[in-house]
Amino acid sequence: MKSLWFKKAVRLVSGLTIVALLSTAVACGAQKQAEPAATEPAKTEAAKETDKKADGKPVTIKIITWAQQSNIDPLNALNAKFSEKNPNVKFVIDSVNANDYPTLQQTRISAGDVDIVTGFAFDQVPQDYMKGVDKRAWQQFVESGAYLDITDQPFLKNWDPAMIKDAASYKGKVYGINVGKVGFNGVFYNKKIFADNGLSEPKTWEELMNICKTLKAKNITPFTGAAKDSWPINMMAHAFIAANEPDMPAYSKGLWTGERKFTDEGSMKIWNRVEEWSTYFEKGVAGIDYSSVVGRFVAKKAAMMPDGTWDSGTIDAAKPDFEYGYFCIPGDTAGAEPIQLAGKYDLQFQIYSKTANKDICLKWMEFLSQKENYTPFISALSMFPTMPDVQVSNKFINSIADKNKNFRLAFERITLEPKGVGQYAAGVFPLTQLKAFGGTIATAKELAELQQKDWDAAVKAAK
Amino acid sequence: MQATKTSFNKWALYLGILPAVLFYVVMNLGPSIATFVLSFTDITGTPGVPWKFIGIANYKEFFFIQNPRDTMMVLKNTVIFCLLVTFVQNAIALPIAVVLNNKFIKGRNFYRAVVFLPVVLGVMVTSLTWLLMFNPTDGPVSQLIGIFGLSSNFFADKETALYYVIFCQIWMAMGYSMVINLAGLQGIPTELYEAGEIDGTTGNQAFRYITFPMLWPTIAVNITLALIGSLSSFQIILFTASGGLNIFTQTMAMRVMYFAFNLNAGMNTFSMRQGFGAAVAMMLFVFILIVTLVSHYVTNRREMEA
Repeated sequence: MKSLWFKKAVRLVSGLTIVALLSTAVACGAQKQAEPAATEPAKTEAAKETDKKADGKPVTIKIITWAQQSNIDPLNALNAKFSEKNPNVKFVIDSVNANDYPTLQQTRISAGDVDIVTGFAFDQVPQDYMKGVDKRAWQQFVESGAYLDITDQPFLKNWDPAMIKDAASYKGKVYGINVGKVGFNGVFYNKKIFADNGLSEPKTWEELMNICKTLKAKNITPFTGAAKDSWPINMMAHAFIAANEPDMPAYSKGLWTGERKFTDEGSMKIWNRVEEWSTYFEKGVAGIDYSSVVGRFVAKKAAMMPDGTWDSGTIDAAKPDFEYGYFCIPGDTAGAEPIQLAGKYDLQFQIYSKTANKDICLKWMEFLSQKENYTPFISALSMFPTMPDVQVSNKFINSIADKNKNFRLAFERITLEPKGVGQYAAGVFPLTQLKAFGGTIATAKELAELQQKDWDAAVKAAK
Repeated sequence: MQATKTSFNKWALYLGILPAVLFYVVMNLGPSIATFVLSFTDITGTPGVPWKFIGIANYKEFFFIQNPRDTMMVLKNTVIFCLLVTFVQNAIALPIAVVLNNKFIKGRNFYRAVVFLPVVLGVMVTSLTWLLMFNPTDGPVSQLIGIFGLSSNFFADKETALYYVIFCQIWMAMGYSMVINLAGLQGIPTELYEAGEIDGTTGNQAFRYITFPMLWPTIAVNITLALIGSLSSFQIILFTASGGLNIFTQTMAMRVMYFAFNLNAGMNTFSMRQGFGAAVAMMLFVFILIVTLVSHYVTNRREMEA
């Protein structure tokens, strides 16, 4: 009797052991089972299941994105509209802090627990002159077959061909839809403070500095900023580059090949202006994070706030009646046209290639591609449309439409840094290394020299 | 009535410990071996991306391609974090344990609970608490030091942020050391103190010649636990100092996370580098091993001398 239960127990435990070990092996082995994306992947059992679900069985579509309410609210509204027409389809949006989003992306795709994946444009492709640069995350996802090839989908013809080519394609195939462009070479300003002090949008650098001096003389802090998170301030380096380096691709190449230096006259002009600008920020700027900076701006702690155009939705949500405008960081001379935006293609949707709900996801993309659905979506998103002939109703976007006539990609979308680069060249122009932004380096000249040294070392090591 | 005959089957013993062994192998030993193996690969962590063995390239990159000044700074931060946490945490936990072990202290259980509370709160609550306290624009500490005309960016100050993080780590973990010390103190026979009293020992002498030598094995355990805990700690840095975004607050453990999971690189950059992260983790393992062995040697020698 005893030996019988003992044998049963041994069999049970052995079975469990084998299952555990096999599970581990399968999980590890899955790394090597990737296949390149196909235009029309073979219909799996899961895909067949989709067809049944499309007939009216309840389906939940899982969307992952980063936590930015100004993105999530319009997405919820779009999904609600889709669900009205397709009552069997529900949506779940899972979001995390932007910094944690790569982990969420990886885990959900690994687990196959997602249907629609948000991301950014397929840009920042390493150029021939960039040595030892790793592939971008999006590139690896595409090559691993994580995103569905939608090249042949008819709804793509509704979109701007330039967006399809520059933001959503890789090696001639289309894997996503990028829904909007944003600029981030500028500054939000408080219209009331400007009006009360007889100020207007600056057209030259000198005018901007005069505005700062005027405000400071009246005990009004010119700028607030989110230096604690580094990137909101570091990002502004690209505004100064856009204002002072007319040929940004050539500047990028020059820095890599050594024809340009971070310490040459052109680069020092950028650095010196950054240094001058840094003196006009509110006290404690190094401790302000991105989630609280808008609150400070609408609370009139400062007259201006450097940020991307995408944050207008956050400002509206924080204080709906707040009057604000946006101007680009100016250069030396004023042109006939307003200074133009430099930025990037922003929010992009891709369908997970192995989703069991492929047809519904494609239907959702088709729904999004209809002008009547896209227009309210992009208006709420506060981005420039990537669909031709769309007239947005967003007050802010319309107010800066004249700055979007010759949209350019920002320097950060053009250049990349070499692998292992030191802290003083990490992110190419790390403004927050300056003491004024909580760093340790007192002057721009000193920082530029350290930046060049770190850059040279990394470029040399990469070869 | 027939007597039941029971016999001992040695396989039942193995069967009994099998679940624990399985758990250890699958959740601990297996991943540790896998980390060692993966440290010789270019695995990214992106699902489906093929990976291959690249020899010692990750180790070479750590020493020769990554900026050496930054690497040294990370090592220096690791040593400072580890030594300060271990020393200060135990230096505070010991006297508190001695005082709260005194039966004449009224409400000592309450005080013990108060000191132990941060351990229960955990790293997330601790981080949020101190982020609010040390808010540089309008936090209570900022306002307090403002009375004296002082100001600080606290966790955002690249020169001092690491020390604020160390403070939080000690505040959070000190209760744990105290509880272990209390357990050790309660194991010291009261007869020794009574004999000491008869011989006319003072309070200080009793601590020096009875409490401390008898408690030394417990203190040694505390030191080892604090060393290992502080060397492998990254969560408190992640939550307080913007995820160790700047090199000034990065320790080796944080560096592992930084590369393996692309922390703070945003959505828009290079892919994760779990092979390289595994190589940094292996070097951290060697570092912890050396420090622990040295610590064991020193504490054992002290124990034998005592």
